Amino acid sequence: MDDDVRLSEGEERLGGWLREESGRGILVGFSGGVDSAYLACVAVAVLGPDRVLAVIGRSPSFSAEQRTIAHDVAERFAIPYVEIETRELADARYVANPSNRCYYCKTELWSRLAPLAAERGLLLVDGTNADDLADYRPGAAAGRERGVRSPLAECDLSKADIRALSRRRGLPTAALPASPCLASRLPYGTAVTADRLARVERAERALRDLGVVGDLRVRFQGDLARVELRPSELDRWMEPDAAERLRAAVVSAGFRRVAVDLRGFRSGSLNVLAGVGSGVGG
Amino acid sequence: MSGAEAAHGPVGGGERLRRALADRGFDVDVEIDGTLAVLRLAAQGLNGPALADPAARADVVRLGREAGFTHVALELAPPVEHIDAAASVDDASVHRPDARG
Repeated sequence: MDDDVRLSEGEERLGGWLREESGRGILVGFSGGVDSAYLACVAVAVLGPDRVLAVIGRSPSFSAEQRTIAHDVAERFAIPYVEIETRELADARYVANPSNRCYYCKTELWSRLAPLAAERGLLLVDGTNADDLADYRPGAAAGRERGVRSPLAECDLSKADIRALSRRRGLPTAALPASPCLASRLPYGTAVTADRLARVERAERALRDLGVVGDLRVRFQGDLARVELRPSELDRWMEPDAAERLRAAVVSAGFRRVAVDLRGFRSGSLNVLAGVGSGVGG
Repeated sequence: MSGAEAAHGPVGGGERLRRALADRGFDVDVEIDGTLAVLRLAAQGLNGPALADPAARADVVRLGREAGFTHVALELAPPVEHIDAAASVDDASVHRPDARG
């Protein structure tokens, strides 16, 4: 089947799903990322703005950059939105940073969004896509426990489909690199604190200001920051003068030592590190 | 081996990696954190310009993998401070062992 046709059919399925399943409307957990931005945008087009509410959960693990993108997308595409504060850092189980940390974060998020949805008679939905179903995502369990539906996954839309459909709609998120929360930069078992999250955020901001483009992660390894860049950027920033500017930028964000991962960016990079946190810094 | 090998790293992996890199002319210090190896190029000069070459980096990553590491990172050294030895060392501060002793 022609790819354009297949994509159009996918979006039609989503539209049908929204009309049939949403009742009085939807309340979408909204990060301004590729998936939730597309979902909210289609929902506004299909249901109308009065039946859609996007909710941004604000906390130290949600970067200021991502928050700005979320606001910009909502404003530009007339998506009604509110912002609420979430307090996952007050939950010792989250702070301990176990491998199912996302479960506690999403439990906090949905426990705050569920009453809002109930008050307004809206269906709670998230931006989980079809590819996500194959990943290890403990946060999804928290959503299921609260009856959160995932229209993109239920309509079998993959990440690539969503990017292509976002491009059609002129969404600036179409080419946005994946942007998991800042806590994902800390190895499991390393306590999540506001200070550490802020340090990672400052370092990534400093590198963006320096001109680093594409996928970027500053991985927290105690007093050492392990920087992951996409391969083409790695070529550029490993040149001695550039490397020194990169090092200085990360040090200015509060890390004592800076290392560049020689393989470059890997999604879920910390998941494959075993026994980290014992030998590098404190 | 030079460098600290912490618990939980691949057994002997740091030394294997250090030797393999030495065979390629890299004088490195290997610091281990779990399955992460952090390299410091002791004698290679500022930030090891040789690793600006993608093929050289790929080779180092491969050697790291063979030594049991999932991640290999190069620590960026701060700039070397150049000290004007003549100006900073006055005669009075020089320790002079007694020739008679």
